[in-house]
Amino acid sequence: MPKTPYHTDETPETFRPYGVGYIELPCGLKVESRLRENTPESLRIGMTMAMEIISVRKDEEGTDLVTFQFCAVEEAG
Amino acid sequence: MEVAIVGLGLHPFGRTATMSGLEQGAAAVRSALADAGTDFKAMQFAFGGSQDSGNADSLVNLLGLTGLQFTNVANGCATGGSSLNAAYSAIKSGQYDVGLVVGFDKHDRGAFNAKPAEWGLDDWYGETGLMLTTQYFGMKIQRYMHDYGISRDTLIRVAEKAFRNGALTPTAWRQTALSWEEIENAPMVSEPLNKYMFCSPAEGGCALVVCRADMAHQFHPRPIYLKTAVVRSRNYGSFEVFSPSQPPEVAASPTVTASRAAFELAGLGPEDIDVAQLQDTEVGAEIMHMAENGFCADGEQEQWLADGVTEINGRLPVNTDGGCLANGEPVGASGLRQVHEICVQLRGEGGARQVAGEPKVGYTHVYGAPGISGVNILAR
Repeated sequence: MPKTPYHTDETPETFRPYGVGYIELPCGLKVESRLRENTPESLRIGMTMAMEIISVRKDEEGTDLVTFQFCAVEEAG
Repeated sequence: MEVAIVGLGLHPFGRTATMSGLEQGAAAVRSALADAGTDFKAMQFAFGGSQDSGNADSLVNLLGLTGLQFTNVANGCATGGSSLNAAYSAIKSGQYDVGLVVGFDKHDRGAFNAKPAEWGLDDWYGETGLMLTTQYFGMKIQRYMHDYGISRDTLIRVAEKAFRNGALTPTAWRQTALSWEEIENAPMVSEPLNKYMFCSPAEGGCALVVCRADMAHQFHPRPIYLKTAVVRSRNYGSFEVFSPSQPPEVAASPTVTASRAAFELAGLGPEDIDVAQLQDTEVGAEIMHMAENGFCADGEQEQWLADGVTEINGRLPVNTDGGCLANGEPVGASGLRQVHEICVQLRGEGGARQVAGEPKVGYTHVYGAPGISGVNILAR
């Protein structure tokens, strides 16, 4: 599990490794993002990705804090 | 007025449990002063810095309360480069005749705990797991390998060279050569870079005595002249560490702009360089920096490494002391270690790692967050 400043509700037991990449949007802008895919075999430069919202942790008031991540899209055969 | 480096001091990088970072800096200063045959009282100014070991000007408590101008420099990985740049200007302008440049540090084990706010970013960036330098370096070389046909073998060759050179360097932290298999099978850190392909935060100190060129022989029989010292920050569109986004137009990195400016100011080109230090916080950085500094075209590194061009006995020896990979990175001192090693090589004092043929011109390059580069060109 990454050291601080990493701050999620995960524990070393529940931590799930994540990928990191730059997602090129149709306008050409690239956004850095966590990726659901976490092995080199499941990732390829140029593949189609979609955004999803994931939970990070609950804050002091119990509000669910979320962030975005990208994941692979099944490409039509 | 030209600027000369006349004293070299290094407190060996690695781990020294019994000494604080500041004490390691003081040890480096004492050996630089002894090398120049002078003492702290003769120093008219000092520029120095450390990232994690306190204020460099506290060194006066250990070295002497002489009243000199002592300026602290904090410029991340380019702290040493920026200190030397400031000393260069101080002498070049005629303000001072002789002074000191010093860097030291003592870091904990493991990746740096970079705080987003210190880099102009919001907390979410770090909390969600994006504030890790290893990820940036992994992504940058991944893309570079894809675009320019660099193979994993080339990554392994750079690591092999680093530890082989470290084994020839009495002051290096890692002095054991590693086999191809040991490097290839090491635990993965950030794909495609594994444990032996990254340098580690470390401890150590480095100091240089610099003076007006016309005084140089008073201090040392073999002065090394600092032809130019350049530091550049990033332009919009260059791909840098800690970047939440990247615009469509890609701009040249600060390494490219610093390198071009340095060659122009020195009136020299890449073909004039006999020995180089290129920032190798991981093996991909050394590979990409070969091209960014103008020594080869993108993609040529594959053949260069296979042919041993950057070995100690090659056409352009790179990181002859094992670089950051074999010495570790005490951030405040690391850029000065590079200059120290080039001076050692130009003086002909490299011992088992000495480049043959009496090298005349050397080059150093440092890169750091959030997109800064420092380049020095040195000659004897």
